[in-house]
Amino acid sequence: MANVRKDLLDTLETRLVEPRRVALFGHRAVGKTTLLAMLYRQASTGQIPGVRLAAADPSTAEYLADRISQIEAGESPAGTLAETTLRLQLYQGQSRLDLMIKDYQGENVTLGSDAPIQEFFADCDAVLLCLDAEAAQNSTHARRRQQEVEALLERCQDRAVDGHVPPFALLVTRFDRVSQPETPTETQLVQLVEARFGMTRHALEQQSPGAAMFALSSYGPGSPENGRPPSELRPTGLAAPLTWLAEQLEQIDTQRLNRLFSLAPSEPARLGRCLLAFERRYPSSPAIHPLKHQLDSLQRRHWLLRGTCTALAAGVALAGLAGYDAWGYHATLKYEQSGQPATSVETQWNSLVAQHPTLPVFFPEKARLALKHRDQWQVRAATLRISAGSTDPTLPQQIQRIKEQAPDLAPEIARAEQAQQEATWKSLQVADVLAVEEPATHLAGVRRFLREFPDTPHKAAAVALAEQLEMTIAKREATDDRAAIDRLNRTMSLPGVSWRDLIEETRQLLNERPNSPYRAEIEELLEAGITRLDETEIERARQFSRTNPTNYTARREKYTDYLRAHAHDGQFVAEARQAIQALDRERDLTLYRQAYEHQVSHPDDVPAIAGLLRGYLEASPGGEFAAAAQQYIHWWERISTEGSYRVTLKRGRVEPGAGKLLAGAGPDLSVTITVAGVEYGPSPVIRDTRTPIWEYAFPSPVRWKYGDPITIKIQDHYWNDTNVFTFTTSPGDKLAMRLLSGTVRPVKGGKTELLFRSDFQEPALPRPE
Amino acid sequence: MLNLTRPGKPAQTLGRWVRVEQAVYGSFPFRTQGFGLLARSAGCEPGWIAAFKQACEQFGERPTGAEATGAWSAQKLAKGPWMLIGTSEQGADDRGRPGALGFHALFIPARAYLQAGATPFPWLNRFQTRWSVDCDGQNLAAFDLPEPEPVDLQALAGTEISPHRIDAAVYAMQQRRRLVIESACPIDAWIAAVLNRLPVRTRERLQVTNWSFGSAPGFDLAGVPARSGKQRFSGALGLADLDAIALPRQERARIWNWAKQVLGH
Repeated sequence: MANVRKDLLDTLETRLVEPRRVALFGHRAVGKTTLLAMLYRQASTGQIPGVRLAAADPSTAEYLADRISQIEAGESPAGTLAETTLRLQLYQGQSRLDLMIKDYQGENVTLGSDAPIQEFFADCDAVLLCLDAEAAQNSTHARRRQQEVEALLERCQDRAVDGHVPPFALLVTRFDRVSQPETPTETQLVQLVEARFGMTRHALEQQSPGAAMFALSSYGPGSPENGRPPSELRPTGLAAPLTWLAEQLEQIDTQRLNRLFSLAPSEPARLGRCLLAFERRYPSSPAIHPLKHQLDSLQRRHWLLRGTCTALAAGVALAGLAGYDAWGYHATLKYEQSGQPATSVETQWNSLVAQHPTLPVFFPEKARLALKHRDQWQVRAATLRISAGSTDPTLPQQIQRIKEQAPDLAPEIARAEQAQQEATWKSLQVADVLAVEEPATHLAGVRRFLREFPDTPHKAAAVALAEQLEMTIAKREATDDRAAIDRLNRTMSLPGVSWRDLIEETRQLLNERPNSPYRAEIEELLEAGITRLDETEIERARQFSRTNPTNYTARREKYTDYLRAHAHDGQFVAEARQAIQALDRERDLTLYRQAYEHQVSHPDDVPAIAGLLRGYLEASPGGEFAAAAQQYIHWWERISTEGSYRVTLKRGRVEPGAGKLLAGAGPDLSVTITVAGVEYGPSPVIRDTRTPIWEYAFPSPVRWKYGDPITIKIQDHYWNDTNVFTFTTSPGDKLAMRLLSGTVRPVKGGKTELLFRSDFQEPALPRPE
Repeated sequence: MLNLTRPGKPAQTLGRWVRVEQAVYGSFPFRTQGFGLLARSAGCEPGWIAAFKQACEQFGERPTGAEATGAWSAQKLAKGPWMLIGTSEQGADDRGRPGALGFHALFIPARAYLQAGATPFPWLNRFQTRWSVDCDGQNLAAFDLPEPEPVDLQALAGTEISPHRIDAAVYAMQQRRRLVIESACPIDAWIAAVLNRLPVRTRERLQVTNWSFGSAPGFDLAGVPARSGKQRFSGALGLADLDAIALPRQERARIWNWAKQVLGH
């Protein structure tokens, strides 16, 4: 039942808040699409007085614009294929109604159709029935169409939210095709409807109280027989249906809002939402003011009711809590009087205090009595526990607290303390075994007894017992220290002893027993151990250096280890530092010498020399030869990629017999250089000499990298070009560029030679001393 | 004209012959009931016909100046065949209203659709456009035809669409995004270009239409008439989105260039 009511309220709210659903009902070709387009065309341009239509979204605007442009172009709109939802705003006076109308295939309203549009019709807020006046001249057609209307009425009746079907308006379309006057009188319309749509008229009169009839023509008079729009559109009768629709929707909304107020006075939030939506839609409606007053009073009543309920609920809860506290107090009191053991009664009172924190709020006197009872029974329970021999470490604190909070319990507390004192002394006296095996623990017990019971009659005996125990403990410690020293002495005399462990052990003994009678002897042992460790570790470094003379890194590491361990107190620190310096120098020299000697024996093997020098730099970055090594590595990096070099041909000489017949004083000579396949030159020709002086700088820098071969040709240009001599570097000569930095001579001897100068320079490594 | 069964061939699918069921829906000059099912072959199941009607209605309302000739769509029916629908202009309807449309549906067995390359192109020449009053309310005959060979999609695609847009559309299809392309004419070349780049396993799930007047719901790739205003297709990508898509390899190249710049500094 509650769900049925809620569903009804939800439906009413939805209808009031969401857009108005308007059904434009009609069979195919009745003119629905045309009517919609023309209604929008006329009402959006102010051609219908008092009413305005506006498209609420872009797709609606586009759809209607397409249809209007078709009509204005003299074409009938095509038969509608798809179901299209149109959202429009209808303005009348200050009212602003958001409408949802669907355009669809008229075929879907045929009797027996279950197309989805039928669902929309059944749930709509108003229905515009479109019936074609012209087509209704055929009685069979008219009856079929009216039967479709009848089926729609039935469906609406089934789905009526509040028992009323939505208002129906009968729109007789194409009225101009059956009636001469452009604006028919009501009598003419009634006569026509009676004659052609009598069945529909009767049904509407019976079932739809707000029903109305309108005659209209979307194109107006003068439209041709073929159904196309006329050249001049003069629609008639479009204003009345829109005005009727606005009035009916406001009337329905007012009825629904009133119904909602009568059905749901206890839901002011829902009423507020609906009233707000109604006010936005019809700001000048006379129904708003009284409903607002009613809503205010409902809201006040709602909050009052809610406040009262809350107060009542709080009162009931407080009464229950007070009852619970009173019951707990009396139940514990009854338990106390039933003669239970003191420990059980104490537990009951403790539970009452812990579980009833509101007892002091509701019953302060009972809460005070409960605390008093709890303290009394705690003292009694403590006495009982002491006499029973059980030990509770918190007992003294409990007794002290009770003593401070309840002075009237002093006699009972004194008895309990006396009992505890006797019990404690008794336990100290009987703990002989503990006194022998663990005299320190026993001594702590005696001291605690003296601290807790300073006025005890057993004080003298307790003090004597404590002194005796102290002496026993001192004797035992001395014996232990002696044994430890003897053990350390024995260990020192053993071969292969770990001096570090021994020193650590001695230090630990010293820390644990700072007041030992053997302290001086322990300190001597420590000193001896440190000295022996110092000697052992320097000797280890020396021995390693003797056996591994070339392992500079490990040798240096040994001495460094020694320095790290004995930096402050070592006897051989100076020796270790000197050894490290000597090692660094020795290693520097050795590594550099390897590179130098390789350079002397294999001057062309630049990569290997550079590799050795790199190793040297890594090991000795600040070494004596670091600068030279760095320079050589840079030079290697430069020549390992192609670089440019300026080359100058200074002078030359050829064999005395060189030259052609009748060449006069000598041949006409020039020089051409080929580096890595690239030719440079030829140089200028020096005529009639065998000792030419060129002093010629090649204009293009020579591009060369490590490994590139070089060929030098001397040519004689007298009469024709002939080779006089060709120098070619051997395949193994990787540093061919050296040729262009000095004098070039044939390997096999002879007098031919060329002198070059260039900015290619091979760095020299200093000799290691 | 209607009985397309090859004489002397079996009625069942044997070997490489395919049994194709068919149905026709629309509004025709000779038909007085307006839009409705004109005819169907006996093998069409009720669920197929309902889906066919719904697909026709979702074709949408014609915008001013748009033509429906040459429009087709391919949809996979749930646990059923592929439904290929060809659309044709039928002139004016029985009331003289222009813009009557006819829809011819071919129901292709899923296996045969896959064998033919999982694209609609091999079947498009089977659509009919002219129908007569003889068909109204009659049972059409299903027809058997040899299983067609896959068509050369590269040739259909042409070279006019920019490679980046095709790459982006292919990427969108692989990411199961919906793509609606606004165009002046049906987008056969687009569909061919995109399907050509996709593997069969992706093609066999893609529902496409080359031309629709509505919002083409349910289609992964659809062509619609370009309009002056901005259209909204919920959750679908458009041409502007394609241009803005960063493809995975472009994204990798961008990250690599950025990394090189950072490392270079």
